[in-house]
Amino acid sequence: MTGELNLLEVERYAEGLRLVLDDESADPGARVDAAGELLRLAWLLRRYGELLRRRQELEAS
Amino acid sequence: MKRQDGSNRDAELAKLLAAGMSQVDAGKQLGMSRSSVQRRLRDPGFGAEVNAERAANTATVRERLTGLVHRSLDRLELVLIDDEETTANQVRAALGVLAEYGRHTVPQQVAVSGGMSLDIQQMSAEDVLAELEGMGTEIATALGRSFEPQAGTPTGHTWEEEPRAAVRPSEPPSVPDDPMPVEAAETVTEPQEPADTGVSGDAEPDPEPESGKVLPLTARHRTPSPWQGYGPAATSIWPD
Repeated sequence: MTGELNLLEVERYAEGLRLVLDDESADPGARVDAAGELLRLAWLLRRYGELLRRRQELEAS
Repeated sequence: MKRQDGSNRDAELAKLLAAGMSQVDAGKQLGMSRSSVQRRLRDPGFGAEVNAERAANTATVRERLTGLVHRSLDRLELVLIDDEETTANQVRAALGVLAEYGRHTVPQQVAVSGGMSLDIQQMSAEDVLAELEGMGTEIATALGRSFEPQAGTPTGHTWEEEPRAAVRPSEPPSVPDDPMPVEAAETVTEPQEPADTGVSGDAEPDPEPESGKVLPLTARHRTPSPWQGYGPAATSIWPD
């Protein structure tokens, strides 16, 4: 059971970033940073999912 | 009847663990000791149940984030083409776009050292586990710099009250996140002076690569982020 993420924390973090992204009164730089961070997080989660799937395959073999 | 109760409890325990709850907290919620939880986890069948639940949860979160990808890219594009935007913001937007481009490279075309491959299908079990750990560290660092749970707020979270304070607005990032296209990744060599790894806490530092060697995957993951140090120390996202 190595390498498990607390997905609840990740979701909360993503929600915070979304709030900044959608906040038209927020500093433009902050919105840029939030957008960049959301892209990075989306990629991390995608790769994390792939790694989990691979681990399951390895455990089953 | 008793068997049914145990089965229900297992299902509930699997859900809690898959959501990221620690063994202690999940056990408390179900009236189980930590050792009982660990004993259940040693059962391959139960472990598979937790893994399946976790995979489903991950897919859900991933779908939500995927829904935000286009909006994020739109935001960056708007800043890039807006003549009234500051140069600093346009540079940050450009870095964000380049980083995203770099993430969509074909893994098989990227050379990495140490026998590790970016292609997950080619990775050994040991490498899969190592990268899962490294990824967790990276996300934990991200959470720690701007994520500050606070009791008493509607979501237990400072974002609701001060969304603008959570992201430092004005200074340009000094280090790109991961702007490494395929061509560059194939020939990357070590920096003259090893930079701060950006890993908080007790994570082990990367071994110093020999001159001329391609950086290992983990080193790329630990590239210091422009966000580093903005928030409180990283909180653990690993269950106990």
